[in-house]
Amino acid sequence: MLSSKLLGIATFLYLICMAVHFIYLFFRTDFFKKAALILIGTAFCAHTAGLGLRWYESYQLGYGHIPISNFYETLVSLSWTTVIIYGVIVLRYKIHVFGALLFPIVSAAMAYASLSPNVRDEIAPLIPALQSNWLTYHVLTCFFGYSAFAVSFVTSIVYLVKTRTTGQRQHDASGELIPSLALMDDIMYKTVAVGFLLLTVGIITGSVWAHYAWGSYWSWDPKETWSLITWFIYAVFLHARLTRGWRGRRMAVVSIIGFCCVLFTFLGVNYLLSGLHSYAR
Amino acid sequence: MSVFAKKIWRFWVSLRLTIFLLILLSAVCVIGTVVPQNESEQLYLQAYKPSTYAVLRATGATDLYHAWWFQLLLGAFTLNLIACSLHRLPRVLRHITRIDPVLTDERMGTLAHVRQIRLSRFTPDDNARFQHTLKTHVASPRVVDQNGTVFFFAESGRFAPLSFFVTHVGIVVIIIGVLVGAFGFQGFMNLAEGESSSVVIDKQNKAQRQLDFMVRCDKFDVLYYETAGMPRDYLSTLTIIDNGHEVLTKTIEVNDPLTYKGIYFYQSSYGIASGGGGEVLLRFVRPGQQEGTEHRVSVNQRFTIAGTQDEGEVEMIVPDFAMDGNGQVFSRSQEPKNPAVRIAIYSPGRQPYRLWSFANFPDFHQKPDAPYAVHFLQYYPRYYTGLQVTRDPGVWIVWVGCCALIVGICMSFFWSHRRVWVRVEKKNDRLYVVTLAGTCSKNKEAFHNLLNRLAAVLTHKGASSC
Ligand code: HEM
Repeated sequence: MLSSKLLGIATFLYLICMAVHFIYLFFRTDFFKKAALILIGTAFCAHTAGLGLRWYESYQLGYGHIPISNFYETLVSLSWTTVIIYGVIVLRYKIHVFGALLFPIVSAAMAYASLSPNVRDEIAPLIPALQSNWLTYHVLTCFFGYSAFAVSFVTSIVYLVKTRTTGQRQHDASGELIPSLALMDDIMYKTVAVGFLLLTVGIITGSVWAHYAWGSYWSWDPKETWSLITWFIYAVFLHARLTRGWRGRRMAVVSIIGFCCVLFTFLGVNYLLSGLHSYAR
Repeated sequence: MSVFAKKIWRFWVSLRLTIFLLILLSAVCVIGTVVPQNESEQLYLQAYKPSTYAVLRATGATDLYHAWWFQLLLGAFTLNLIACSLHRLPRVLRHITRIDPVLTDERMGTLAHVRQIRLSRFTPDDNARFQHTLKTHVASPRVVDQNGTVFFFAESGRFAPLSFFVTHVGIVVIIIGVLVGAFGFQGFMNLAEGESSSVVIDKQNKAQRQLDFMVRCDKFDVLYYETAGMPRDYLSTLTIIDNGHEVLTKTIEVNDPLTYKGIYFYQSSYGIASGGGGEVLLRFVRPGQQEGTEHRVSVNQRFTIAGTQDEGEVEMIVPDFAMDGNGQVFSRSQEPKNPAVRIAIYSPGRQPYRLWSFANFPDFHQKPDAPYAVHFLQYYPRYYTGLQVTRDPGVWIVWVGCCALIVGICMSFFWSHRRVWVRVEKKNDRLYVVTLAGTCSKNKEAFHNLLNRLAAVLTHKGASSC
């Protein structure tokens, strides 16, 4: 199908994106920055078209639904939201170094989705429990939230690497490649703040949906519980920063722990705890 | 307050306690997701050693979220949240209600952004232009004139500092809603098509609970996707009968429950009603003929086979035909996996003739001496619908709390409290000293740029800035 071809092209372009970012780390010229931006834009267009077409194709098959319902679709959509959030950060702060960490993740997710034999990529109809507009609101807000946390995570890693090599000094020779610690601290906070808001809305829309589908807005299901744990960790991040004045390395560590919780909520619950619980009833 | 009481209060309002509790709650919740909750003893003993299971049971880890110590932790968290929010509120209220447009040197010392500009003149025209700029970028300024020194004060986002309170109140309201929900119940009822009942089985203690109205299931249906053969929808048509009157009929499906008097009825499961029932479509063909006659009939309903004097009757419908060792027929399951019917045929002046017919095996058991070959074309089972029945008087409180939570978080992240003070001192006819100062609670950099812009507006007419 055409949508798979487009998504394949997007995957390929993201891989090239990754390579260009690596090259940029060595030859810090404007050329590679521009090349990276153009590649990201092109890949994103192919990605968007692929998702849109898949949506359209699902209607042609007679059971149309937004492509966020099986593992393949969630991986592809989550990559898409991540590229959007990253794009906002790149355009706003003109920092390109995070891409060298982010695009390996994005292209790995996309490649795994389309190449792994464990991931079924056909368009499947929705079981009755998933047929709800709340599915769309819930999944989209959660995914944009996860993506904001992912960008915060990448920033935290760069922050930690930089302070390891240069200490907490604010100015150093890494110059324009790696942004100042203050700026990274700010990006870390802002992405977590946006992610926290979206995660909150995501948990609430999920509860409303559960209320209409299963008659209980909260049932301590492992996936729900892990999203709550994630929410708690990021609440710790916000309070430690706002009222206890934590900054820098400590915040970076909390943000990394938070993102590990995000990953566990998204993947771990389904794959590591799957023995006894099944979420998709 | 005594020293002791003060100490206790300090403990409850401390943010260190919050962070500690949040981390502890997270860690405890992890246990709840790793240890299966509320499973049967048998299952636990498959997964754990008996000694481990005994410890898990004794500590409440097998029903963690209802364990008394978990609830105690949640209670401590709530108390912390309430105490902390109340503790800060008066200070915040004072902060936002005490507005002093006059920029004193003392106040200037507390402000992060201060700029001073020297101007050679400050005409009424400059004044108007400057006020206009303040209005477009911050808010309409208040103007105070004290002995020739002019003060401007502009403030926006005045109530932004209350956002933390809105957020926290939202969480407390959600918790209240959850507590109120404890006065409701969760249960289920199975209703065969055509049946009505007012009895709900409680989920927790399996006790019967009497509703003060009746529910009738008029019809149950499963729809399938044409291509994929997967169920697309489960539909139950329900009628509420209150005081002998039919007051409400609705077809419910998954994600679309029926509500009556605060009680929700959710489509939850279904099955074939026990005791057979339902209808079958049969075709009767005389030996040696091609065409037959079709009849859709229910069990024990005698009917005349069209165009003949003969009568037929379905004596038994078995959804999943099987035979035990003694040749006794039984239904292996309630699924229509191997539907079979026993039919009796009454012809005038002859012994009744009995035969079995199978939907899955049209040619099976059709003996040559039979008066008819009977083809079992279609089985229309009599279904029951499984309804989850819930009453949760707290759910609306929870939704209100959720709205407050979202509004509060949006307020605290996107709404900045910004205040700009301006002092225009006339030193002499050729020298005016303008001091710009301000604070903001969010996005300091943008605010800094704003002050620069305001300064630029003033210096526009060739003055020096420092
Ligand atoms: C999981 C539960 C909690 C959530 C989601 C939450 C959320 C928030 C949010 C969104 C803010 C606003 C941050 C900002 O101004 O930018 C905030 C501020 C604050 N929270 Fe919480 N909070 C929670 C629990 C608590 C608890 C239990 C306490 C009690 C000690 C607390 C104390 C504070 C304080 C002191 C502030 C700062 C207010 C200010 O400086 O303006 N929070 N909280």
